[in-house]
Amino acid sequence: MIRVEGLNKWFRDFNVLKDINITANTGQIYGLVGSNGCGKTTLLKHIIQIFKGDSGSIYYKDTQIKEASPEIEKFYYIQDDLYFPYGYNLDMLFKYESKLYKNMSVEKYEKLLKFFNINRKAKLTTLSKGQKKQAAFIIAVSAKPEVLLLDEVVDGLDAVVKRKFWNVLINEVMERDVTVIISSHDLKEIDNICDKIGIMHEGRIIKEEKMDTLKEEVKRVQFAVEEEYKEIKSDKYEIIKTQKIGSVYFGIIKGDVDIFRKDLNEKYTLLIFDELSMDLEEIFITELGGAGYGKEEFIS
Amino acid sequence: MEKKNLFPNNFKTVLLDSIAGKKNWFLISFAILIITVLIMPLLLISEIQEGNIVVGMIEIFILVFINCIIDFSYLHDNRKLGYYLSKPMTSLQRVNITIITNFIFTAVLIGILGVINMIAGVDVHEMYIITIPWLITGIITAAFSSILTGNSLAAAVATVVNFTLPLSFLAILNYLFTIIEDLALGFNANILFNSFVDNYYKVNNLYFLNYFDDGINWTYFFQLAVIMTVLYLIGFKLLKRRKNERTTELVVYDGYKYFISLFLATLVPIGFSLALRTESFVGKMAVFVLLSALGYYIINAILEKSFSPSFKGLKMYIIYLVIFALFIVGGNIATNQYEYYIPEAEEVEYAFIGNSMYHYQQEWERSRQVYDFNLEDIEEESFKENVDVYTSAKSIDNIIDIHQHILEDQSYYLNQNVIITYVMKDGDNLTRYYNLEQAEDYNGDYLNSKAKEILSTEEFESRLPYNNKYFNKSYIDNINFEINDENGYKTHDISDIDIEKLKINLEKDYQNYLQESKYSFEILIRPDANRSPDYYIERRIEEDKEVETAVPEVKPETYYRNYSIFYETSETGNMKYMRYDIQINEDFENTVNMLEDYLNIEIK
Repeated sequence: MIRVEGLNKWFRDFNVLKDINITANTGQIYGLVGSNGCGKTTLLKHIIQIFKGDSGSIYYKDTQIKEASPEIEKFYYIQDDLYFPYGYNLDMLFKYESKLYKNMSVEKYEKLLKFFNINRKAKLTTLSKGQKKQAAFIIAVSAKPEVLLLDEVVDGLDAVVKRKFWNVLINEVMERDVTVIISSHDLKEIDNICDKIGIMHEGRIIKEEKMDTLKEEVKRVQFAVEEEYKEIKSDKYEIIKTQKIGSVYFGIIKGDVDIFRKDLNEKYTLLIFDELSMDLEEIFITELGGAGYGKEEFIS
Repeated sequence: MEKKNLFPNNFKTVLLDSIAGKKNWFLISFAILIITVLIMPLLLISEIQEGNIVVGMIEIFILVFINCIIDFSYLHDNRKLGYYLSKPMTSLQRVNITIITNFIFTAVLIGILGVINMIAGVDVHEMYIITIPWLITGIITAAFSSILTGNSLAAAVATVVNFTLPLSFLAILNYLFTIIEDLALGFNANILFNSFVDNYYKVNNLYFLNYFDDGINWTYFFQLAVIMTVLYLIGFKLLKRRKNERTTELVVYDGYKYFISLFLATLVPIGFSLALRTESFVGKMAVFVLLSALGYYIINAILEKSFSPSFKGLKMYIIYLVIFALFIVGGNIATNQYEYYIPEAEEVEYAFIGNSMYHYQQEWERSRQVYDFNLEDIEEESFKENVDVYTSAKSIDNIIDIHQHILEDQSYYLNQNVIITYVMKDGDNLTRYYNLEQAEDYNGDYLNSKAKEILSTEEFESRLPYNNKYFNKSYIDNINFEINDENGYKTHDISDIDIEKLKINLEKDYQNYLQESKYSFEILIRPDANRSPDYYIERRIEEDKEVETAVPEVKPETYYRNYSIFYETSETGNMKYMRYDIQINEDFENTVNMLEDYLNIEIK
């Protein structure tokens, strides 16, 4: 289990991480999503101890993590902007990292090489962006880490490779209870893969919830009433947004949808009422919209 | 539990891997040394000389410097930093591995050069004594400079700046002493600077230069170990506090950034002060503030990559100015109590008065500074013979009177500097330096009367040229009389002249000259002067001489006339060849007459 408690970080006068508290349980895939520049990469770099926080702590299985902690050996971090030692091919990189990670598995490496079909002898710098990501992922999984920190790792991968990538990742989690923290912009991709989501905005975690709960919390509804609909207020739910298309109203409700339906029924003559599930992207937009992000309208 | 180890568990494997990564650098460095130090000299001059070995050492410096900057460049690139620091090896362990790899790389290169050196059979062991510590400390300096900076170019510059920081500090130190000189009467920047450097700030020792002549002993290794430890601890502390998120900025630490900005900004007005001499202390300080502010702003703008001045930067500059002002005030207060201090005659063992701080005599083959004179010196016969120091109570009293007079009035008939040194009975040395300034209403009676009293003492007379112990037939190899006049130089051999008689005539003429001279004080402070207007013994007479030019025309040309007796000896205790000159002029009647009779020429 990875736990971040009260983490704060200032880049000079800019408070880039504000009282971050997150928990990723063992065997959980934790999706870290957020607006551009919200601090996702910075948070991951704090977890792997590249950056040092101004205050707050990071724990792995209740042991506080510091740069010299032996627990760091159980972590593997793939950064967004990849780097490989100069002149290395994948075999050389595997050999090099085998000296650093004692659990490095040749068997797993060979299997993954075959699965991803990467040229092991090609200079890593000559590979495409997607191939580089695969190469880094192969080495990361071969290291058999207990914690995988993946920063925008599926960015640049084609659909087929993405599928392979998720396969391997899910397999690792199921087989070895690996804890994964993955940051991504591709919300559709991580929608079906993450157990838990942390939504970041302007250096804060504005929402951290299990994916199931999150989807339960925010719902999309479509309804039609005979009369002219006027917004209902209740402390049991919050109507985040309503839009009328033709005679049908579309709304996003946070809270108890059943009470909303009951309230509608009491006030209006309800003709249609359907409850629709929301995907992560919609939840993300809704949550960030609540934080005032992306509400601006372009006026030409 | 945290790993406190300086090296990773798999140290040997990681180190070997790091060394293997330098395979190409080993090969290219080997090729460079073999070609430039071994093959090229053999092909071109058929031998390897000391200079070739020195060139090889310079190449090693360049190669090691480049390697260090490349090897620590991971600290200056976010991608590299992210990759390496995410691995299970601490920053400290990685820095240590890099330092050791470069030590090994350097050792191999030195080994190659040493083998070439052995083949050449030249002895340049002093070069190794100095350069090996420089290379070792240079690698650690490169390490902590790379930690300090967020850019490889800045790291390269910082390495050079940090390595030479103790030397650059000398320039600041000297400037501060010039301020003291301006503030306090009798204080001289050169004396203060040299005394401080000789006694306290031994920068030569810091750079191992003292071992050049002395050779190595246990202190050499101890000093190297201490310097290595200090530099390493600086790096260690810095690494612990490094803000990796500031990678790619020129300087990662604000403290270092402000320090280096202020340090370099201080050097700007110091550099200008060498070119723009001023008599005005206020003007000098105003220029200092203006130029340091300008320099600080520009350096900060470069380091910050922004022309917007920062509040913190401004605050640092104000603190710097306050410290500078405190130094001036403190310096003034500290020197005030010594400015007008003159010792009691009975406390003084011997005194010196002159216009030169340095005394070099070929017999000594070394120079002495007056502020270094001590009680042991006076025990040396050659010291008393060569330096015009005074031990008699009468002379010391007169020097003290002259000193007192100068403190009250620094006017003179020309610009002249005067140095007075007292070596006290307790061994202390008190040296004061005064700039006498030309004044229209100067009345030299007091100074001349006091000087004349000293000129008439036995100890002064004993040093006059005719009393030189080598001015003796038994020592003289040859003796000549030289006339320099409108016809050029003409030398007359006077080897058979009666030296004793010549001595007697010189003594009469000197006594006469010293009694009659209106410039006794000048003679006192410049007794060995031999380039002179009319108040010196060697009288240069300017006259116009008619000369024909290429185009038919006759026009006057100025020429000089002067005379000297010079003699050479080959025995001065250790069989060294020496030459002595005795300047005379037309007023030395007895001597001139004797020479005229001997040479059968007319001199006047």
